[in-house]
Amino acid sequence: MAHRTVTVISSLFLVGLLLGPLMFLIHFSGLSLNLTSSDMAAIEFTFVQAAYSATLSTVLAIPVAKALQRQNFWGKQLVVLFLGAPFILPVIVAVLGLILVFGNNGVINNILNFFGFEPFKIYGLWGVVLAHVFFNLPLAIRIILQGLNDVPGEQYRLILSLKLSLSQKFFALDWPVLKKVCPSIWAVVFAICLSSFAVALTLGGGPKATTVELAIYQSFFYDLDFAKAAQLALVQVFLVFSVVVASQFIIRPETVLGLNIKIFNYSHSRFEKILDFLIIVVTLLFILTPISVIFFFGSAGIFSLPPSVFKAAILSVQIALLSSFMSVFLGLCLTTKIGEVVGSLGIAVSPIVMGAGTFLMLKNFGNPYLLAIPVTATVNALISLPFVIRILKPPAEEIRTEFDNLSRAIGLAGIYWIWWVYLRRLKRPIGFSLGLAAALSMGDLGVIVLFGSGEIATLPLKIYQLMGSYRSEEALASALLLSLLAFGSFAVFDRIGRML
Amino acid sequence: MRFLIFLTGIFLATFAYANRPVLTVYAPDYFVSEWGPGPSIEEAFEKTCGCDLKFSAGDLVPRLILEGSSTEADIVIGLNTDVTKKARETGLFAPHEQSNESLFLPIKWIDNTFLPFNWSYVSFVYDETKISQPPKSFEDLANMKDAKIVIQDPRSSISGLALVLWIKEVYGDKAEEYWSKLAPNILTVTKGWSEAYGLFTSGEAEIVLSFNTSPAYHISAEGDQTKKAAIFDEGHYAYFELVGKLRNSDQPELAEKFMKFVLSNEFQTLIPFTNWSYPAAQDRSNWPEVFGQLPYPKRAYFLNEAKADKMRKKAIEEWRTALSQ
Repeated sequence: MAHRTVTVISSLFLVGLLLGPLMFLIHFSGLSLNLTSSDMAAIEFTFVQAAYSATLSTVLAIPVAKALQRQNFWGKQLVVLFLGAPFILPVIVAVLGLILVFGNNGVINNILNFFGFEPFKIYGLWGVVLAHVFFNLPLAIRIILQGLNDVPGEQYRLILSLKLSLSQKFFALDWPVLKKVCPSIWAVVFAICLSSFAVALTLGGGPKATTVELAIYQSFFYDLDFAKAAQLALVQVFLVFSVVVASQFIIRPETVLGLNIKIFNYSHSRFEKILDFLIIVVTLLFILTPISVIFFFGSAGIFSLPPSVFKAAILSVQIALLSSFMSVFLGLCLTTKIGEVVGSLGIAVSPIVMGAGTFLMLKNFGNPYLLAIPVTATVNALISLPFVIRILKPPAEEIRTEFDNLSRAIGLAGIYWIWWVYLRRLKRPIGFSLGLAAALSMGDLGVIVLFGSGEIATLPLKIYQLMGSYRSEEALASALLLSLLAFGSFAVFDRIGRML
Repeated sequence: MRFLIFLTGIFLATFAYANRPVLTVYAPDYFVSEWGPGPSIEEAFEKTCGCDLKFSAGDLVPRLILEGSSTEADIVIGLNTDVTKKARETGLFAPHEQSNESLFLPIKWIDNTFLPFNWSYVSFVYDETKISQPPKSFEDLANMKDAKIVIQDPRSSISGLALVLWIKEVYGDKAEEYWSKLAPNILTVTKGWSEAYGLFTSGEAEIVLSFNTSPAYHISAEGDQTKKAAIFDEGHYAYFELVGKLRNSDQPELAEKFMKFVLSNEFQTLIPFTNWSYPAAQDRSNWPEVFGQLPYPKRAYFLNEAKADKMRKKAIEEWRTALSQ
């Protein structure tokens, strides 16, 4: 079969892309492991912050998802849509917004101060956890909400007729769902937070709050200790890989089949209504305030930004276009079961690990800085690949089962089949995944930190530099520009996919 | 529309610049920042050189080592003696070819590769309205209650490194112990100086690691007398900022011209009010009044590059261990 050959070739290509840098890391590590006590502290911190972030995201998501499930109100779809925003929002923008809201001079600390409470410390462990919850809480809410919505309406009817108490209702209706969904959410968030780089870079407070990813960067650039960087990179690969493998043993939620009778009109007490309303409002405030402050404070300076910012923006757009097309092209080649497995390998090999390995690999042949743009685009493409495959695979499989016999009957094959059947029918998911990949690449602050220099800077790196030289006005305006570009590119591609 | 005009403008501007030779100067982030001397130096030099001076901000020595002889840099500015050994060992630098006799420093300058252009004492700067009893020694600093101090990472910032060496020189074998004692007072460790100073001026922290000359900025630019440098009885670390030119520069004449410019009266007069430190090639009597009146320590610590390099690794590891607990 033709598409099997395509899958095999692109899988091999991908494995090569991932293994090449890894081999160089193993080579540079000198096959030994000399971890100092501060390296151990970094490993410990990585675990502690990931555990806090995963637990808080999962636990806090439960009441919000429950509230969204049982209450029906005008604008509910919009609320669910807003919950998707942090996924596309560039990390550096969110961090800036969170500093404005939760920093020492922010709104929250002014209130705390007024009532004589200890201020919230955004630099260090709690700041890192806060930012991770900001990004992962919405994800957790959406997954739990989906799980709760999958409970067949019949069960609600049955249980309501039994006139149970609140806690009995919880254990009868929600607990079975949560028991299945929450462990896998926890594992996913935990794995994501293990590879945290940009958040730790901006909010981590020195040696006390250093993740392994950050330690790789530090030994790479501060100490030029390539052996140590390579060793830490291998430690990181091992950590994430073992968590990903371990999470495979966690029971996945299965869909319960029912007649799909939706029950919305079951009655709640007034207390439940007020409580749910409060929970939803607080969650929305938490998600939307940091984004709105960027829009509020950034809009003043957006027309007076220096040329260097626009130069960075143009570079970001170029890299985003390159990497999104690369990612979707690979994704289209990998819409099979093996393809999905291979495509997900990128999760275990984090951007910084990939970047460090590629840097060491290229260093042997010349100046790695000259290849900053293709390397960044490729690594960004690999990061969004698992999401792209997840979007493309189900419709692609459907097309194959539905049209294979017909195509064979009329002799439609090869490139004609790809053009007339495969791509034509996939244009909507292709548009959606192009948009997603472009937005993710636009906001990425990972490899570019290793490869960027004064001359080559993407917009997120430029913002980080502006923050570093304390040009907060320009940083905020650039952050607004970056958010517009990220959301804009998503919207444009998604739109094109729908229109064609 | 406005954006389009703007883009066309950039496009044309790059065209117009293309014919002028470019002098690439590697400088630390703070140097080209809002408070840095970069912009005014660029303006002054471009008036006479018929060239385009381009600053490239970022790490200095690590970047040079990674780029090796293929580096774009013609000049590197903003080094200090704690990192010159590593920089010298790259073999990328050429002699500065200026006379060390024209320098006015508290020590005799004998290096022929790296040229100091300004200097000051590493100090903790505090906000008088928030700190009623300023620390008079490292002990005082560690014993302060509720003081939030911001310092810089010694691995990425040379002022951060200066502090680590300063403490190592004062405390010797007890340096790690001192760091553990100071650790609870440290709000955060930043990558560079300007990030830390920004946290200080925006009120996130009350004490910042900076220089004894920093208050001059607040006095003359803002008319603010409340920011002061704490002078420690132990003595302070003397901090010389250096410039060097690259052997492989594709603009050797421009680079030579720039080195000469660094010691010129024009550059030296710019220094106090842009880089907020003492000019290296001017006598104390020629300094602006504000600078003459700044308090300074009775004793200065100065490590030569060999000693600084020898102490560096251990001092940083002690700092890292103490602060990661």
